[in-house]
Amino acid sequence: MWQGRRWVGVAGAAAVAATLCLGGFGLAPAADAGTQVLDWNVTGSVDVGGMYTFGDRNSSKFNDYRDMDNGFLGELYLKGEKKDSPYYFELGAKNPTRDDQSYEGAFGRYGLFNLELEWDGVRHVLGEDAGTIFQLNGSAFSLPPPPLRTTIQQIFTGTGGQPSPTSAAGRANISGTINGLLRPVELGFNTNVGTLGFKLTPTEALRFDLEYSNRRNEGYRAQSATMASSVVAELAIPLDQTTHEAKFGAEYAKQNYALRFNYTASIFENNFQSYRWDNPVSTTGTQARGEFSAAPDNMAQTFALTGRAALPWWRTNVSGAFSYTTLRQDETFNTNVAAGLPGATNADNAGMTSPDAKSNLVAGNILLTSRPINSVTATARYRFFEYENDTPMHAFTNRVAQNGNVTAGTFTTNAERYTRQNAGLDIVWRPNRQVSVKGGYEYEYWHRGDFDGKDFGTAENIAKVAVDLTPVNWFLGRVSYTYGIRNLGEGYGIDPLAGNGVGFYKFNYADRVRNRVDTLFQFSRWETFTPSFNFSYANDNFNNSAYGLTDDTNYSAGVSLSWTPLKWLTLSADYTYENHDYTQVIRGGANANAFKTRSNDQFNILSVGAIMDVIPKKLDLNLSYGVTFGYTDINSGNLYAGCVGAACAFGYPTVQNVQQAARAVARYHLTEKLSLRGGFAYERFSERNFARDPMAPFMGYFDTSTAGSQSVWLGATTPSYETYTIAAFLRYEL
Amino acid sequence: MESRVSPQPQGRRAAHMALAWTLVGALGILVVASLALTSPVEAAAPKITGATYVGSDTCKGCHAEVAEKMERSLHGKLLGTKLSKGALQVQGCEGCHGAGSKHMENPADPAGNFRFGKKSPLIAADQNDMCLQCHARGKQILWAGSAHEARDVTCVTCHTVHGPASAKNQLKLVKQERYDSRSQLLDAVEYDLCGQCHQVKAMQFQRSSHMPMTARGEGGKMTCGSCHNPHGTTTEKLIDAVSINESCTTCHAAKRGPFLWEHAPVLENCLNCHQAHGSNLQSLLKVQAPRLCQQCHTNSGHNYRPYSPPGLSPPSTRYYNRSCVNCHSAIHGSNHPSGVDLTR
Repeated sequence: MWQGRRWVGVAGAAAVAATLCLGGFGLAPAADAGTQVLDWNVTGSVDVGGMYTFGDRNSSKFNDYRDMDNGFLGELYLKGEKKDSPYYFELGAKNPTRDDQSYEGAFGRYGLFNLELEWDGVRHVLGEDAGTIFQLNGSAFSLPPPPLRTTIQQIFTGTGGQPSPTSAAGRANISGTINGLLRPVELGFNTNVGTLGFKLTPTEALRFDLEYSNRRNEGYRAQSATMASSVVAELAIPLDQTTHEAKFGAEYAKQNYALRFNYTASIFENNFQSYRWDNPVSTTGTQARGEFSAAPDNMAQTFALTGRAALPWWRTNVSGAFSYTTLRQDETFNTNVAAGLPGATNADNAGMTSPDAKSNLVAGNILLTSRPINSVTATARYRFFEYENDTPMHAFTNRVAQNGNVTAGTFTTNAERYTRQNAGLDIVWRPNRQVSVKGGYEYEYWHRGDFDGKDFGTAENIAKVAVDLTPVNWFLGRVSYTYGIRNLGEGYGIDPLAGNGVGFYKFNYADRVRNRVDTLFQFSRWETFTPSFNFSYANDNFNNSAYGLTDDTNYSAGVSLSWTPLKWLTLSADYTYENHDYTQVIRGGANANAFKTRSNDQFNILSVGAIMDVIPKKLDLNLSYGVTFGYTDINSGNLYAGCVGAACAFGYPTVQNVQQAARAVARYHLTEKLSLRGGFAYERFSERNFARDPMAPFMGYFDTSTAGSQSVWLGATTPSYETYTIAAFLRYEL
Repeated sequence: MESRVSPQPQGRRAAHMALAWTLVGALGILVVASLALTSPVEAAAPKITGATYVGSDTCKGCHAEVAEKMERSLHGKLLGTKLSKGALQVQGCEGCHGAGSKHMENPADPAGNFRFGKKSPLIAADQNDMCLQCHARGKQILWAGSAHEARDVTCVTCHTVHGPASAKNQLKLVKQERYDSRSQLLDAVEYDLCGQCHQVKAMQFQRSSHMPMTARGEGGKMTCGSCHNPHGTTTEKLIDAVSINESCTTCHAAKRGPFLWEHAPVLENCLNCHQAHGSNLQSLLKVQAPRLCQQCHTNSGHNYRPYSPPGLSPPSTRYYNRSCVNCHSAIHGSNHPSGVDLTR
């Protein structure tokens, strides 16, 4: 996959090299900055160089989002302005030949129009050590043909004289079979985005915008399929998705009013409608194959109207926005019952073969802000948002629970919908230049329809106060406090969910008391030393929830320092500590089995840097080091004594990772326009993650349950890495 | 059996539409009313009483260095040049700093012209009004009453006016240049700028699971402005879209739906499960599954068990890899007739 667009990169590399030659030889420097090319004054820079990494680099973490392959690196940025004319152009390229290459170009006339073209790639690496026993043909994952296929089934099911899959011999049998058939599989995809934009400002007041973008995801990612209860086949599914987005905007703006219209259409196309796979657990009969749906093609359109006006009273401004969005999806249903079963159909009970899914989003916003006296600003706002679900309900008789196993019954879709309304009033009082006090009140009301089969509302009253202090012009202090009380409406009922007992509410609508404090202090008393400090605390207490999420608390503290002790030396340091707690009670099927879980995240993040002008205008040095310690602890324990077997709760091992990056870059100016840059980077990443570390194509030795011993995984992990990278560049500045 | 049911009463929808259109109508009336009022409105930018215009060339006489810098910026191309449009742009320097005659008479008098920044005698709103004479449009159309406006953030807190700074949007360079591991210059201007006040949010991008943020230098493709519009929006947290979900599905359109089988919290807010700025867990999840899922699913079916580590209790496929999503792989919604449990 990564090789797919090399030709584009090669062309880009040639352009960079050609430009370097162009800039380096024969073109006369302009009187001011830049180089004369025909009638154009061209400024910019060209970088040509390369990199080499050594060390243990075979980790998805190291390669994610960036192309760290050894070899050529290049950058180009050119800006040209025509002499005695308002026309200009811009050209840019970064890292041609690489998966994260990008290009941009623009042409325009100052004050009249701008035409832009961009192309940008980003690499997503999801796994470097995945393997599979499946053979991919289109969107179908198949097992090797018979007789091996039959043998696989017998080994996985303990039939045909094979030992039981849960026995040691059986597990060894499965392990040997899987490992014998295993082949490496690519797990990652590239996202490439091309954008074409045009802006036109024919008059001071009038502006038009037009933009088209094409976003393409191509590659492979992991997705699991269920073969039987808790028996999983993890597959590297191919991705070939394109999103087209077109935008149009028209605006008329004067000093006292403005009106803007926007239209956006986004069309998502997936070249795969579904994925099918052979079932190793049962390679014959009705359970032989399974199928799951891919993300369906869909379309969204948004019409938006935004306006503002200055009114002639009390320095009053009014602004408003209205938008109407339609979401549509009508992808043909997959076959409901696994192929070969009697009654296989892709229609619902009314004969519909596609969902005709329609949702409409209506958003309206109006805001009035006024300064009746110079020291007071009042702002009133109202917002309305509706997610309207017009999808017809569909009913299906029976469903495939696992491959070939039919669960009898009628299964009917829901049409969840909601509205959200916010109304608020803020008053800001500035008695003098040194103090600003803001007080506000907001009311938020949600109405949900068909959530948990109920129609109900939640109402929240929120009070806010904020104080900004600038007693002297070198100090800024900001403190804000928010208090909110949310109540679930009576429409929800006394016994919220059948079977869950009183006191279980989902956190997004449960009764809640919210407290939040944010502070920031910035000092600029000393020109060479600028410290700032911040602290935040937030607590959501779901005070009437006996089960589910009951408390969400987090706090953080940070400091940022910049110090220039010498004219040629600047030092900086940033440190942040964060702590986040989620407390929840899980009923465990019965009150006696209830257990409490506390998920705690802690982060220590530090970055320091130094910039040195070792020889002024000749040699400078840039040093940086960053480290992040991340911890996640999940502690669990039963609320009552006497738990038995699977009802007993225990803590999970800590998820812990450490990322470090130390970088040093030296730049030496050979001439005024030519410079040499060399750098070294050390990166280290290590992680312990109980969920991901043990992953292997066969995990029967880790998970000895019947289900676990039959699952087939890709086995992708996130290995640690430790790398050393050197890079060097020659830069020419036009 | 009958399978098609109208999901909600038509009357209610009609009422909502009526409400929405009423809002539009009200806005329209206000705009029209404003248009009809020809007298200068009180919200206009401040003026220097009694001063007259002297022309930008006069300013250059003393401020040559500033003028030279400015010529290379977009402001320099458009203000006080032959490309100027309308009455204000023609004024050049004085379009922002006010008519200059009093400043000429006594340059030391702070009341003689308008200055910007921390030491300006103008309050933040008045400073901003000068910029908004031209810029109360486009991304800035909803500045009045926005979160940053209410906290007295000025335009010049983030932007430079006279000279080019960042490649786009004339942003201030608040930290010195940084390089990535390939020794290429990082485009961290926006990140550093926002991080001055939102330090914790900025540092969250240094977590293990993160988006391709430009400032991290890992082929960075995103900036704060990819999701937020600091100049004011109609959505909370200054999200530059009608809703948080709409912002997310700009890139993640595969998860947009609508689906045959929906997952209710997904419809409401992606942030019910994900932390956009960074996480210690895979896929930017807020809490490790199965505990994340168990914040809502605690009893019915099989989902209430503790799923303890191997060796302590019967092991389970829900303990490792993607946990619940190992089976419920269509967690954002399914289009399969058998997808009621989001397994297909």
